[in-house]
Amino acid sequence: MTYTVINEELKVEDASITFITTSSVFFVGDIKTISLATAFDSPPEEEIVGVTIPLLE
Amino acid sequence: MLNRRISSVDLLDILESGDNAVIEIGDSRRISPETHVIAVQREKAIFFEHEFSFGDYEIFFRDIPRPVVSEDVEITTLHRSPVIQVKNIDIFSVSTSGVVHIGSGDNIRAEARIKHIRHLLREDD
Repeated sequence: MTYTVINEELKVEDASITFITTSSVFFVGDIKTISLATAFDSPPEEEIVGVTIPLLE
Repeated sequence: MLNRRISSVDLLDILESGDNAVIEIGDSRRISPETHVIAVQREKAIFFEHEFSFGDYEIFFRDIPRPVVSEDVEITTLHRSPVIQVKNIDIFSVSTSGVVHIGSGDNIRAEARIKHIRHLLREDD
């Protein structure tokens, strides 16, 4: 399959962003392929694990 | 190869950029930011130096399946206007492998692996 893309104008007037973090990308322009992957691990049992370190008073 | 355009930026206001952030005005070939994070919250905030290592957690070396671009597609791109124009961009913070890119590129391959650990005091403590 072949197709043609005709880009008219690419213009950003105003953009306001607070955080760009953990491999996030703010991209203005042309790109061919984007592949994003995230692995997030916060199992519930981690919540109730008691403190394993000696409590120093 | 994409025919490249000219990036024109009037105002790019970034308050804080650190922790290996990339701010690029211009073209690139490949962008591949990667993040590995172990976030530990402890009710009794006592931390020692060599406590957590990435090697101990499978999340950091488990393979993440990626989509395979197999379609046989041929794209021709024509740019009527040769300019990528940006007037005013205001960003508070770019950090932890964050990327700001004004310009053309070929591909982005981004990855983030985050492990959360919470140590709470037992009820009888």
